[in-house]
Amino acid sequence: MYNIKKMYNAETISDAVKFLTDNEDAKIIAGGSDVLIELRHGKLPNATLLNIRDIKEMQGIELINEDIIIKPLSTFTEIAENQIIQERIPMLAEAVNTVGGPQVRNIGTIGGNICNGITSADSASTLFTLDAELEITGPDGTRNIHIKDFYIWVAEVDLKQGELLTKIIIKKESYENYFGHYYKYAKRNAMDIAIQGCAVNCKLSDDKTKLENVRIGFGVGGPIPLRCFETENKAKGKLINNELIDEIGKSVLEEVNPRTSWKATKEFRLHLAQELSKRVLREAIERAGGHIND
Amino acid sequence: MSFSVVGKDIKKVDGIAKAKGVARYIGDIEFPGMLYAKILRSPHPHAKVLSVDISEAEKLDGVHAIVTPEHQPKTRYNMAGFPPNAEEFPLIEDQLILTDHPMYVGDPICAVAADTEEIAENACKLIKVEYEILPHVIFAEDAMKEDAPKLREEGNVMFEAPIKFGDIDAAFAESALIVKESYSTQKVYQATIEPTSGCVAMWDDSGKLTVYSPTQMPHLARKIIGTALDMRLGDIRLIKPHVGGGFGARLGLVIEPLTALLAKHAGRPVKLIYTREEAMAFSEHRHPCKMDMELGFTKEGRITGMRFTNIVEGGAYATHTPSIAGIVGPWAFGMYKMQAVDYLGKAVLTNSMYNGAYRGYGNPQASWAIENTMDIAAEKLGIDDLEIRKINGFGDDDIWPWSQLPVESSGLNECIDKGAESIGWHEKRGKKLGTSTKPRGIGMAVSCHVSGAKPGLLEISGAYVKINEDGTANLIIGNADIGQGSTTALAQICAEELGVKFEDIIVETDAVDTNYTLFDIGSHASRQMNSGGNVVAKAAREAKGKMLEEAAVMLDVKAGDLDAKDGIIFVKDNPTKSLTYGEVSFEAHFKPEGTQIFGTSSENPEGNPPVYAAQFAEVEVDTETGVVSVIKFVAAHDTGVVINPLNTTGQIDGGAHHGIGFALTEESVVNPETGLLENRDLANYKILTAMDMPEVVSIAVETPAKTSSHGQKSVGESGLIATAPAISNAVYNAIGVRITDLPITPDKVLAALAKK
Repeated sequence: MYNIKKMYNAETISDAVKFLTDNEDAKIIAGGSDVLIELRHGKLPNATLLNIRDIKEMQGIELINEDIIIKPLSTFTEIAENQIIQERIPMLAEAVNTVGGPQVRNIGTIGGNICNGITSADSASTLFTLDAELEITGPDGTRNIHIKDFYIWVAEVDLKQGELLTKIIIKKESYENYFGHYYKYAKRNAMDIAIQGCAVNCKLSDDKTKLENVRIGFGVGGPIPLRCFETENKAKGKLINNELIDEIGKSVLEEVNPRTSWKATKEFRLHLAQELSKRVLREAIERAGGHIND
Repeated sequence: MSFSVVGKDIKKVDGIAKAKGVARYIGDIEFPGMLYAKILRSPHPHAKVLSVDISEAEKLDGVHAIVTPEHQPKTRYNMAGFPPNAEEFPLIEDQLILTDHPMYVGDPICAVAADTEEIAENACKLIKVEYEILPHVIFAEDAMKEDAPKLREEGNVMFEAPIKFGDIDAAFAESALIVKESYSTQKVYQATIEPTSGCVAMWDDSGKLTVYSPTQMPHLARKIIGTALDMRLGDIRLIKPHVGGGFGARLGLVIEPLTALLAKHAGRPVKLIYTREEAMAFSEHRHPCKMDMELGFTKEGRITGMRFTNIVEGGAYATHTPSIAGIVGPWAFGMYKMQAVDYLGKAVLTNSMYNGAYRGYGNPQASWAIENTMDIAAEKLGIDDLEIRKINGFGDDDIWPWSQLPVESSGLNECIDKGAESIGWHEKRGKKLGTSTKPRGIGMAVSCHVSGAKPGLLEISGAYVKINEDGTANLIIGNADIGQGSTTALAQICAEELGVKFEDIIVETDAVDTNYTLFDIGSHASRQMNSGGNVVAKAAREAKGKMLEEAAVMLDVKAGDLDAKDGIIFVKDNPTKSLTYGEVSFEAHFKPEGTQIFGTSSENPEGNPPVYAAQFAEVEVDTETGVVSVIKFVAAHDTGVVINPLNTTGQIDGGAHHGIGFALTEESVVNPETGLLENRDLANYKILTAMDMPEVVSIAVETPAKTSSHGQKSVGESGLIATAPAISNAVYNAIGVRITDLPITPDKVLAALAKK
């Protein structure tokens, strides 16, 4: 049933990097909630697996000079229950709590969620709106990139031969005074994949009447998670009112590019993009202490 | 009447074994030397097999047998488990075990038995099959077009079921209102927790076949296996292990003849277990129906007549489809009195995996059409929804047109009243509920169902009760407990009638064996409490009578002076004068010329009392996203006398779960180009999770049946029948638009709102 040729248990990052460098076809396994399903469906015949679960350096959530460092082996449950996350970026806890069910959240890792390269990943759009930085470690050392540059295409991320994701960094300036919300639209309230996910993170002016900054992210808004930068720029500094929210709802339609599948039509997903962005933005503004005037 | 065991909350006899994981299901059954099988299936929805080359596959290490269409008997059979009196629904025998003319994606071409599943699967990949691809058609409406590919000489409509009575034109002419609407229901999956299907088959030296099959109908399954393999029934022994849910998915055969054929060729036991994906893609789902209904009313709201046409999408083989085409109409006119009916059901062949039985057997489709129509009519006539249903319902003394047998007792009005009170109908209906973007509404629908299939189908059940020498009793029944708890409830009836404690009844749910049990039609048509209850009660009464006679001799009284309770046989006038069941049975066994005391019964039940239900839903509609959420659900069911309240509630709750999924999220999506089921796993097929279920209030209304052993009727299927229209009517109440094609999905709600 599980057609595995070889499995290697790495104990350190450098150990893992070496194995990945030496084994071009190696597949990284952490929680296994995606990889085991692929194996069972015969999509990874004769697999060479690199198990990274035991790498201590890749576990835990830390605060360094108020920058939040999430190690990629953190499970969804660990993130949702972590005090650093709950106090500083509760929207991420909210987002990862929408993944699957309790059992999946107990084994699934945030690193796997991102590196899988799937547009519906519940953590991804939120991390986009937190301007998350990813530390990638490879044979030549480490490099840091913005999460939006990490995603290349469906199931394709910027990991070169020998590289793996080693840190998710959310800088203090990216989250301080920001308030956000993630909404997962799916057919069920558990054990489901998003038809669309929308994350909005915003910072209001001191008097709470203007949007000083807003970041809007989508899962399943296109082939990979995305940010609506043009809409964000247009909204910057604007007075908060219903008109602005409607404008933003319309504007995101220029930036998302969903497709028709048997699960939902493009038209329906576009409708959702408009409604969800408005709904999530309202919630984010309210969480930030703002008030939406008619 | 007061009972001492009937009506008590007794836990399922196999509950602990199942909870602990030690209950053996088909997947757990192992034998020395057993092989594992995989099927090579057609990748095309319609094709001719030009050649099959198994030479490479045969060479693979660990392969022990490969069967191809050449290796099979040429007898055609029908998978559906019908007794031989199914005159009204012709049993079209159109299937072979393997085919060289695949009619759907998945039609078995060859099968392999090997040392492991993996080897069998690899061997399947090495079999070379050359196909001539033929034009295909997936949907019934396309299959009925003139230029559609012809799947049979006789055409794609395999069966027509016209049912007429009264003068429909006259009825409509005198109607104050005629409501005309078109409806459709989708293909849906039963979602048994244990995937359908699996089988273990083996042959002994004398040519006798033993089959382990998780079937709903052990005796009828044996009969179809006999037909498919051209064998004497007596040479086939079928054993039903624990089964993880049926819901109709095991109403007949799934893969038993193929497993047996492989075992014969391999000369060793063979096990064939479907993966969840195979179970979803290659076993029977509920028939999609396209229905046009016209219902006439007097201005007082009395139904005058019904014109009803129904196109049933059957899939590639007949199985249950002619029967479904025939029964949808009667479900509709079985709900309400009407003078005239003109119904036409058409069973249509297509190139998709065939559809079959699923809880309710055509009734959810009928209910969807008639209960939406009733809601429309009530509004147009200005009559309360509850009232219009009461006006048209059947009374205790009516003959029920579905069965032509007496209604016996109707709890419909009580169900309506109790359900309405629980949901707060009178306080909420007609009021604006919820907010402007999240309006709420309440709606209701009613349903009828059967307590068996009489007289359309034979109803024979059999029970055998033997009293052991210590006074315990074995209840041996040939019916299939498939998880619903029927055996526990039948053991309660047995204990009640014997006058012993429940713990003194020994009964097995995991070893129904056709060699040692009396014939039973099976677990279908919600019949076990009525038909099974009848024979269990009679067998127990016979055994008890003999026990009292034995005791009478021992106590020197007349048998008529005695009774039994809790395992004590006592003189009615002087209860201290008594013997235990153990003392009496011991004496019966071991006195000179001793004999074991037993009772048997094998017969059809006297009646088929209909059951009624009224279900109520409060929904909230998100008008921006189109999402419908059920906030509260009330299901009031006339079950007759409740034998086991725990199980009864479980059946009603489970029915609501099936029904709400049918209404809102579940749909088996077949791709018209490839012919394959798109959502063939439980991630993509949306049965509701615990997080999705609303509060469900289940109410049992115990209106006693006149003909059953203890006044019981049924509750197995009825739970989901009124559910979808109750929700639809609540959605209409909330937003003023009606979705007539199931399921009620957000995109349909948004489109309907945009048109409003």
